[in-house]
Amino acid sequence: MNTKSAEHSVHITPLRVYLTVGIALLVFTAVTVKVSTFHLGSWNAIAALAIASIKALLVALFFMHLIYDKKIYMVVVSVSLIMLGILIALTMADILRRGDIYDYQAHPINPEAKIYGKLAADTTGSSHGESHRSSADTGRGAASETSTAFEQDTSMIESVVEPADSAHGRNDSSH
Amino acid sequence: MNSDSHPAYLAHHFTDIVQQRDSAKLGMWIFIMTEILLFGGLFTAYTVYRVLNPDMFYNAHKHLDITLGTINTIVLITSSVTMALAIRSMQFARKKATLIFLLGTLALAAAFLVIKYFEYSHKIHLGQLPGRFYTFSGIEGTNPHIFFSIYFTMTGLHALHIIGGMIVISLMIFRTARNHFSSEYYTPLELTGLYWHLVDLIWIYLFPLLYLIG
Amino acid sequence: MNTIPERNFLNHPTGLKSWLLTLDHKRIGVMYLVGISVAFLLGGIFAVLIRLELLNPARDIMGAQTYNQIFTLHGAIMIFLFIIPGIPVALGNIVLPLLLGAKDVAFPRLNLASWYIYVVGAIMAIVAIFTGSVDTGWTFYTPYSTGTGGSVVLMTLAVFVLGFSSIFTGLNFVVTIHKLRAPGLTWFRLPLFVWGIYATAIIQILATPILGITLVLLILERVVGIGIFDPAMGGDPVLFQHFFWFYSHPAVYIMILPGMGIISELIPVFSHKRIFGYRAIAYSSFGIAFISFLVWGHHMFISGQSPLASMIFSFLTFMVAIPSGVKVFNWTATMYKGSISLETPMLYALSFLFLFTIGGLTGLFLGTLATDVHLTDTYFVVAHFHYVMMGGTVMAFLGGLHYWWPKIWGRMYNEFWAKISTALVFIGFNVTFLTQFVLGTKGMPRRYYSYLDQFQPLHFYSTVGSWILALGFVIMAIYLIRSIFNGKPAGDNPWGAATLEWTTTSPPPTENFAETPVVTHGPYDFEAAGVKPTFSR
Repeated sequence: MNTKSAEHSVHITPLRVYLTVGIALLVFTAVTVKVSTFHLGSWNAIAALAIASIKALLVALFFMHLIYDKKIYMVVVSVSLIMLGILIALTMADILRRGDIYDYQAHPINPEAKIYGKLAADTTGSSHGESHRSSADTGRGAASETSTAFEQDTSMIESVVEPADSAHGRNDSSH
Repeated sequence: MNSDSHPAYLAHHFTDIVQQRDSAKLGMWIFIMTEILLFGGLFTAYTVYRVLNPDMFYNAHKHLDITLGTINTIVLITSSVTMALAIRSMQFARKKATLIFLLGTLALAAAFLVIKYFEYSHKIHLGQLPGRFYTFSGIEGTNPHIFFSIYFTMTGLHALHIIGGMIVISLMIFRTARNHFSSEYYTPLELTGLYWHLVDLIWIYLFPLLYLIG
Repeated sequence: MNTIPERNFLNHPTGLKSWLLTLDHKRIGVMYLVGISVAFLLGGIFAVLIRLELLNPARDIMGAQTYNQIFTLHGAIMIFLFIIPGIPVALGNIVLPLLLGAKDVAFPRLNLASWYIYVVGAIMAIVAIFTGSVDTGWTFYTPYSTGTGGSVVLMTLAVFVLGFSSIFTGLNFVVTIHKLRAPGLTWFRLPLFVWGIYATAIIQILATPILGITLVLLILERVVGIGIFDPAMGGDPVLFQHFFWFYSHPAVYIMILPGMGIISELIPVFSHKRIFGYRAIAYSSFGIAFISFLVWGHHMFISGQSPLASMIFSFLTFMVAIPSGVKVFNWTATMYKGSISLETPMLYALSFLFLFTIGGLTGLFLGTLATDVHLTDTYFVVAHFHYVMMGGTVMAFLGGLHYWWPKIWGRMYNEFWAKISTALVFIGFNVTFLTQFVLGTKGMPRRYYSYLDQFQPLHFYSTVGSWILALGFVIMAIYLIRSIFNGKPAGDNPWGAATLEWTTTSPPPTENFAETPVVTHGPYDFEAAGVKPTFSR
C-alpha cells in the first residue's frame, strides 16, 4: 500500500534527458571559454554570467529535478537568490556611491540657532535672522550679513562647516 | 498504528513514506538555500573588489591556467551526469550500475582535487598567495593580493565542499553495497545528488568569474 | 481533581542516557530551557556588573579594559546564547509539534544535533571568556577586531558553531510546519505562534549563513591576513559592517517574531475572545521577515556609507514599522470587549504591548537620518534595543513560559509570587532603561567606561533599577523551580485555550497524543472547542 503510492508519485527522468543536458553543458562551457577571448569590454562579464546562468538553470531544472518536482522547491531556491541579490545590490549602492559625499556642499549653521543664544544676545542687533536654506546643489553656503562680532565668535565653526572654496561673508539675503 | 506493514526505513513520526521522502527533500533544499547564501557572501566580496579594481583583476586572472580550469569544469559536469545516472540506476534497482556510477562520481571528484592541487602548488611556488603572504611581483595594479585572497577563499571553500561531498558519496557507496536502498527507497542517494549538483553549480559560476575575466 | 499522569515524557523513560540521547522534542526543549536560563543568568550577572561600574565616573569595581570585556560578553552571551536561540528552542521545541498535532519534529536526530552544537558553541564561548576574553563589543567591528589581542578567534568560532544550531533548528521547524500538520489543520487554522516561528525560521535559514561567512573572513583576516577588511591592503572595513548587519539586523527579528507569536496566543486566551485580524497578523509576520532583510544599513548611517544607501535604508526602515504596527493594533482590538483575566501570562502580554511600542517608536528616531546622527552610539540606542529585546522579547518569553509552564511540568506555580515578580521586573526594567533614553538624548555615549559628572544621577537611577530587575528574576527562579516539585497539579487545560496542546495531558506523554487529533475549528474558537478555564488561585 505504502510502496505503491511512493512509486506513483516519483518521476523517472529518461536517460536521453540527462545525456542531452550533459552535452549541452559541455557545449556551453566551450562557448563561454571562446567568448571570453573576444574583447567586449564590460559585456564580457555580462556574457559570462548569462552563459553561466543558462548552465546553472540546466543543472537545477534537470539534474536537480526542479522541473519535475513540487513547486515549493523552486520557491525555496528563488527566495535565496533574491536575498543574495538584495545583499549585493544594496552593498553596491554603498560602494559605488561612497564618493558622493565629497560633492556635498556644507550649509552654514544658522546663526540664530538657540545653541548660540548667548552669542546672539551679545551681538548688536545687526543680524537680520535670515535662516539659510541653501540647497545642496547650489551650495554656496556662505553666511549672510551677520555682525562682525558673531563672525568672530563663530569663525571656527564657520571654517569647519564651509567648503574651502566658498567666500566668507556676503551673499544676497533673498532666501 | 499498524507497525507491521511499516517498512524499516519509515521513521515512527511520519505516517507514510511519501511524507517522509518529501520532508527529507524539503529539508535538503532548505539546506541548499543556506549554502547558496554562504557562498553568496563571497560572491558579494568578489563583486565589491572587482568593481573597485577592474584592471587589477584582469591582470591577475591571466595568471590562472584556463586550460586546467576548463578541464575541471568538464570534470565536474561529467560527475554531475554520473551522479544523476547513479540515482536513476537505483530507481530501477540496478545495484551494480548504481555502484559504478557512484564510484565514477567519486573518481571525478578526486580528479578535480588533484588538478586543484597542481594549481595551488604552482601559485604557492610563485608566491601568489592571499593577503600578507603575497610575494609575487609580476602583476600590474595596486593590491594584486586581493585577487588571490578572493581566489583562494572561494575555491578553498568550494574544495572543502568537494571533500565533504566525497565523504558522503563514499558513505552512499558503502550503504548501496550493503543493500540499504531499493527502487522504493533511495532518498539518501537523492539528497546526496542534490548536494553534489549544488557543488557543480557553484563551480559553474566560479569558473567564469575567476578564470574568464574578459 | 487534577492529577499528574503516571507516565509522561518527564519521568519515562528514566536514566541519564535516556535524556542525553533522547529524540523527544520535549526533552530536547527542556534541556534547551535549562541552557538558555543559565546563559541568561550569566549575561545578567555581567549586566549587573556593568551597572555597578557605572555608578560613578571613576573606577568602581573594575578597570577600563575589563569593562570593555564585560560589556562585550554581556552582549555576546545574551544575544548568541540566550535570545537568538531563545523562544524557538526553549518553547518552540516543546510546543510546536503539540500545536500541530504531530508526534515530533520532522528531523528528531537533527534536533538533538542542534542541541549538542549549541552546547559545544556555548563551551567554546565560555572558554574564550577565560582564555583572554574579547573586548571588541559583540559586533566585532574591523579594524579593531582584526588587530586586538584576546580570544577573538575562539569567540567568533563559537558564534560560527552556534550559527549551525540556529540553521538546523530553523530548517527543522519549516519542514515540520509544512509536512506534519494534523488532519484538518489547514494553514489558516494554525495558531499564530506557529506563523511566528515559521517566519523566524526563514530568517534563521537565510541570514545565518552570511554571519558564518563573515566570521570566517574575520578569522582569516586575523590569522592569515587576507586583507579584505584592512584599508592598508586595499580592503574595506565598512564591508565587514555590511556583512555583519546583513545577518544581525534580521537577527533582531529572529528575536522578536517568536515573541509576537506568543503574544498572539496569550491575548485571545486571556481575553477569551477570538484574535482580531488573524490573516493580517499571519501575513505581517512574513512582511516583517522580508523587509527585515532590506534595512541593515540603518546601523551604519555614520560609518561612511554612501548617502544614497543611507537614504534607501532609512526609507525601508520606516516600512518595517508598518507590519509591526498592524500587529499591535490587532492585539489591542482583540482585547476590546473581551473578557479579560489578569493572570501572570496576561500581565506579561500587557507589559509587552506597552514596552514594545515604546521600543518600536524610539526606533523611528534612530531610523531618521537627521536625528540618528545625534542619537547613534549613545545610550538612546541602548535604551531602544533593550526596550524591544527585553521589554519585547523577554516579556513575551516570560509570558509564554508562564503560559506553557503547567503544560510542560503538569504543575502550577504560585500566582501570588508570580505577580510580585512581574511587578518587580516591570518596574525594575523601566527604571533601568527609561533613564537611559534621557541619558542618550543628553549625549552620554554608549560603551563608555567613564563619563561626565552631569550624567551621574541618571546612571545611579539606572543601576538601582537593575537591582530591582535582578530581584524580580531571583524571585521568579525560586517560585518556578519550586513549582516543579511542589506545584498544584494543573490539569489538561487550566487556561481554557482552544489550541491542540491543551487537548493532551499535562505533562504530555512521549508520543504527545493518545490518538492523532483531527482539527475542526480555528485556534481561538473557544466556543467550538467547548473549553473553559479550570485554573483557580
